Amino acid sequence: MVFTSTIFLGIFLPLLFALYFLANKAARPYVLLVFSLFFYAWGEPSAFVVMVALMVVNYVLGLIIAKTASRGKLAQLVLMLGFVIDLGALVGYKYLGFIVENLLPVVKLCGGTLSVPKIALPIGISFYVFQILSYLVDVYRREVAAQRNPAKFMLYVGFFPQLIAGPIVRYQTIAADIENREANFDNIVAGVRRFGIGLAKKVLIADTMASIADIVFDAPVKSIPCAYAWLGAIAYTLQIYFDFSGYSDMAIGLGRVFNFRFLENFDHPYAACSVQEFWRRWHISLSSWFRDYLYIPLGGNRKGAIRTYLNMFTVFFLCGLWHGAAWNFVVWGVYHGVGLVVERAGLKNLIARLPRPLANLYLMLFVIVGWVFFRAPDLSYAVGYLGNMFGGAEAAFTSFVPAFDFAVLNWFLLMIAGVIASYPVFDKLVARVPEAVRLVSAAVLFVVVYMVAMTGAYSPFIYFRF
Amino acid sequence: MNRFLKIAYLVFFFTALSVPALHFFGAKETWHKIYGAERIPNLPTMTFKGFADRSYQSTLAEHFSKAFFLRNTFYTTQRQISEAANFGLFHTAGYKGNKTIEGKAFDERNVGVIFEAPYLNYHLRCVRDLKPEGFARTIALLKDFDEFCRTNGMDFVFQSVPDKPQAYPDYLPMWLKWFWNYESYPIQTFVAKVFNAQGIKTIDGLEFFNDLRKETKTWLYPPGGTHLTCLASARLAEEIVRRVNAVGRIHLDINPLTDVVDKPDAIWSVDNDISLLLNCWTNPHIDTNCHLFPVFKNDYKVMNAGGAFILGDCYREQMQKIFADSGLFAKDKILISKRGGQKPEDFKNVIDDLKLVVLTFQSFNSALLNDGEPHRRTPDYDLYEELKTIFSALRTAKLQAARK
Repeated sequence: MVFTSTIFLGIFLPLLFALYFLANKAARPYVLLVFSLFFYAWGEPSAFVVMVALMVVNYVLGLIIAKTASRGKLAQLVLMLGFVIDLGALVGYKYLGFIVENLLPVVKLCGGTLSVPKIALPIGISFYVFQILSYLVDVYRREVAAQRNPAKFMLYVGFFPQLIAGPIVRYQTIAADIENREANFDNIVAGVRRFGIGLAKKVLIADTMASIADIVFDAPVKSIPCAYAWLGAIAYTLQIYFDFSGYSDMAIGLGRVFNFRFLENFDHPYAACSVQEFWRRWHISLSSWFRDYLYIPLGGNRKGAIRTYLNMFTVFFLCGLWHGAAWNFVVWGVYHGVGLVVERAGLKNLIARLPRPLANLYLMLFVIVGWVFFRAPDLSYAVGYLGNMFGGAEAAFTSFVPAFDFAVLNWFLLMIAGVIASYPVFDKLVARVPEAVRLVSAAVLFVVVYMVAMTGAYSPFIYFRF
Repeated sequence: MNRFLKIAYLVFFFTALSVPALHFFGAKETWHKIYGAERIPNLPTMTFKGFADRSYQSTLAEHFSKAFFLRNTFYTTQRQISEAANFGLFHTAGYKGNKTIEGKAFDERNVGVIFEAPYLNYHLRCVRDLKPEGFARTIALLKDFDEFCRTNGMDFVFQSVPDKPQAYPDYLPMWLKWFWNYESYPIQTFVAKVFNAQGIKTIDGLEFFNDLRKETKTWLYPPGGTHLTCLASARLAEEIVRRVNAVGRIHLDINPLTDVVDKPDAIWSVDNDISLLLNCWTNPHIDTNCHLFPVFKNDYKVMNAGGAFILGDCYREQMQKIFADSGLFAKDKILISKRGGQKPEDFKNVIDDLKLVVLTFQSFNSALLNDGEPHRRTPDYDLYEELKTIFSALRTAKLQAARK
């Protein structure tokens, strides 16, 4: 079920709000749980069983780890078991086909055969598995008490706003919120507004930019002139940001309505001036997960420069792989890893001396190039596309007729609006507007995007496929 | 004051969310007559199997998305908002102030321009990617099919229909002409010339329309629409009949509706009206609006399929009456194919009477290979493959009929 679908907006949400706020406080967690499970089962009936099985297993494992925490080795073993089960599920569903496909040439060379398994990827598995792992580790580290109520544990893992595309929520940030089922007026207002903003980002900007990016990226790579290659890349840069941050806003907004305070997942990443800063602002829940559960346990930056670079490289290799079982995602991750390493090795000192707009330009060029790998259907297309961007284009400017779809005026305006809204200056300008005007504007904006969403075509969120 | 506004905002939000679901409590909206033609699946019953295989979810989603309360209002309002942003600056695109735009009042939006930006841009997106190296084998295929027709007492015509920007380049907005060298890409004309030179009867629609524009001011495409008007359809149909009868392999004793041609103001049509005018049987796989023509289905055994459902693009109620009143129909069966994908069994009821095959392609774009949704493109469109499926299905149908 997509947040922008008619079923979600027109049936699911109104029913949930009605039942939730009419229920008594004790029943509310169960209302949320039932709706969350139904939300997932609606879209993924076959994968539903997998998710519930993992919830049950990890609930038990969490309790065992908490109980045996004083007996270090045993707790460690149980934690390892949890990792094996959870990562095993993730690798099995998401990467098995990719692994077999890449082993195939080697196997053939040895005279053998292998059939590539076609396994349907359960939606959101990358997110909820990481969420479960963070819970187990935090229980093991005694940073948080294990949740004894199975329904509340399942609610933590499967709460619908963040279930299928994040943010990856640490248990400790919402442990108290799970217990607090009071209806808070200010939270409801703030949550509803945030949801509306997220919906606008997705429906107005992300989907429009997708139209432009799709036109360019759907064309044979040799037919794309330089200017349109840049246009497509910039459009995709905006699309992925507004799609993902829009979804995060909706998730955070809905969480807030129900008194859950999720941490921010984006902080104007396109305003960053270095790759390092970018990753402090982009998909914060994922980057902090990798930092806390992989980078630091590997030694972080405490074991000398070479080890630090290796750790960073490893983290970003896996980060790329997390995004998808395909080499272009791995290349994207490695690309960012290399960028971070190079900055750490000395480039950041050079960048720090640049005026901020120039430093931002450097970062944006870096990021835009990276997104080409992300969006391209495969590596060879990405390489060809980048070639077109940097002077290798064969096609003449006037030959690319399909690009004229972008010449719809409101698309152009939305592109400009998207660029402006990517920077904090936009939020600062909005903050100066009187509250009453902002509320009325929010209502008008909601009506417009609501109508567009209810009458529009199916448009899934990009990060659903991870 | 702020608290009051916040409460009002919340009430507004929750009300807006809840309104569409009033559909389940019996709230109904009067359908716009165009939307009345949409097929809305019935509200499904939830079963375990239906839920497990997601058929329940998709049917419910389709039902609700087409039937929720105030859907019509939502649709027209958001469309007007969207068009306002384009329309506001592009309304002068092609509109010459002192020209009469026939059929202006044909829909409630009263669109008065020949080009609407989204449709203009959609059309320009349909890139002709027929590769010249494909001609040789395509021509060989068509000649082969021509021989098949000859030995089976049939004839065929290949017809290319231009897109609106090609037929009316003088109405294109100037800013577009800066970017698009439109004169260089009427590939339909190129294809028609090549085919005709090779002996394949081909009507060059662009040349035909250029001549037609000299004799009539009536639009060949409706304002806001990308499909042909009735005048354009009727004239093309006449040309088909003329070319076929001129060769003499078969003789068509029909007259596309001359009284319609004399009354161009009253009617607008969609592309498959060429088929209606020639009393044709067309590809049944493209099924969007068969139920709009009960007259034809019952009385004349016509299966019509059309894809046009764009606001302002069709005026079917008038069409029905005119066809019913005119009484000019062919007895012979004519096949018009707009897309590939046919199977032999599609032709089994008509193959014995089949006299003429008209292959009509409005744009040689790869969207023709897609099912249903013409607004998407796939790369590497191959006309040859498209034609092969049609011819193969026809041959097989003929063989099967001969064996009976």
